[in-house]
Amino acid sequence: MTVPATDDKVRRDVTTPLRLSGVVHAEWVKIRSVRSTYALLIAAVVVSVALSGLIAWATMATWEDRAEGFEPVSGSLIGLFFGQIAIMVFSILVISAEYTTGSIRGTLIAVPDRTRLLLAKVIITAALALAAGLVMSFGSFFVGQAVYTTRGVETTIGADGVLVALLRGGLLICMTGVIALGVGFLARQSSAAIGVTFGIYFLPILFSGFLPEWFQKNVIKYMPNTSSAVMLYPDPAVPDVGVTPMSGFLTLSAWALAMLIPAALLFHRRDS
Amino acid sequence: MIEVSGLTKTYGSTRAVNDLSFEVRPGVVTGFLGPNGAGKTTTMRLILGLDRPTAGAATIGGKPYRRLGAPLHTVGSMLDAKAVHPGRTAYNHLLSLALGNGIPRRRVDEVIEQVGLGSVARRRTGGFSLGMSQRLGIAGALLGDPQVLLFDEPVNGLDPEGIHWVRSLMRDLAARGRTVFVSSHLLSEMSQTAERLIVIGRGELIADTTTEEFIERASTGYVRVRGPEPGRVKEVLEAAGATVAESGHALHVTGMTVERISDLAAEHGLRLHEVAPQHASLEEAFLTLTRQSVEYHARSEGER
Repeated sequence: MTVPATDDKVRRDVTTPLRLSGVVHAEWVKIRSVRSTYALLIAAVVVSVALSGLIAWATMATWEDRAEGFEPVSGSLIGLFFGQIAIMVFSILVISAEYTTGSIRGTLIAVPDRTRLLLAKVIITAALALAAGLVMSFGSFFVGQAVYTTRGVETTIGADGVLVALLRGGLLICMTGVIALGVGFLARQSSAAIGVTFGIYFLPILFSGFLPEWFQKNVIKYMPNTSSAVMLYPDPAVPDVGVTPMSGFLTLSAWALAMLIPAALLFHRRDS
Repeated sequence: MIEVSGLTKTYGSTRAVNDLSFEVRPGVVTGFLGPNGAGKTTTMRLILGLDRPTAGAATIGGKPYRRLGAPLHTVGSMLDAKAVHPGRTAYNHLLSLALGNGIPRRRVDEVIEQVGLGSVARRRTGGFSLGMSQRLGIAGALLGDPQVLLFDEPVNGLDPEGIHWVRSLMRDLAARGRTVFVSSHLLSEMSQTAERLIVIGRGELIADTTTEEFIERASTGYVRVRGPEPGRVKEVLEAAGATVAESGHALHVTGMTVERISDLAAEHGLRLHEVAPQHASLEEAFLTLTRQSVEYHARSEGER
């Protein structure tokens, strides 16, 4: 075997800046080249649409008990809350898999600018979660409405506020991904990050029945799940729970920043 | 050029690297030698900006690694060859490194051919042998055709043909004026490739010299001396100009002949049970030099 035929012609100017687009592209290659990560995105879509359809069918089957307060848009999107579990795991793996396999060292040697690397991972995770979220949202909607025709209670995408509600469905899945990624950066370990994310999302639901009313009013409404649920209603049908789709989105953004800002600070300080 | 000055790293209560200063110059292969646990990998991690130093600094061409724009064009490195995602193919692994630094795809194919992984480029790295992983790591280091190269134990796990290949690669890179910094815990390995040596033990600098000089210094034999009063023997011999190291129940005396040691002992009325000249091999000699500095030198394991 011979030694390098390459020579100084390949060498670039050493001052070549690290371009964010290149780092995002690199992160995309990492995601698409590992089965477990993109399999989770597919799982998120399949689980959401299948469960949304199943729940719509169950609603029709027990219509007498469900007719009151029935809202055909949010009612057809319940599967998103199951599919979002796969999105959480996907987003956490975007960073935690690097720590599990040790590849974070190679990554940081190639991209020593921590802020830029974190930003690139946020961008690619948000983009993929948004794409998956939109498929989950629109897919669930159309399957749900098809089932609702059995009782003639369906709505259409052209109805007041429906399209916006479906777009918000994709957006909330995107936010779930960003929040989970932030937890992943903080915890660095898949299991711990999954535990914390599930805690933030699902503990309030488990406990809400036992907690005093002031807690319900003042704390639960700021939890990500409450914010997400409201975003799925078309504007004319938003229930009066003290949260609007806009305030819900702002709450999710606040959660994302609350995870990402300390994550970025720690990323600079911690040894890898 | 790599410059390390006053570099110190503490993990909890362990001081892995202690006030280390040295320079690695272009145009020659510089070996980074020390027993396992001496702090070689930690030093390399600090140079590459993976860990933050407790004190001091390491710079490459005057800049700390974290401030290099697209670093792969300046510095190529291979630390832990197995630290790659096992589910990713060799090609995709290298491609992801290249893209972040604006290195074209064709360069990925080039380095794959160069390290001889052409036939397995599309295979997942999980099934790679250590030797194949080492080659992949070296391919990653060569991607940006950098001026400075760092390799941590690059011949580990390689077959004789691979070892020969790595050695000639290092020498060739140095001959092209690159700065090549290679760590190893084997002096014999370094004597094959390195022109200069930075030797550390317990995180501290032991020697910064040419390989030739270091080997000469290391290969001198010593005299093994045993007796009922080792403390007094040591005092007497040291007073007469010898260098005496304690090794279990025996003393290792350098810089003095067997005759002179016996005469001195007789003059001072000291009994000796053994005065035996020893001709150390390269590795033994290296161990003697770094003995006091081997971190986990377990006393219970005893001396032979």
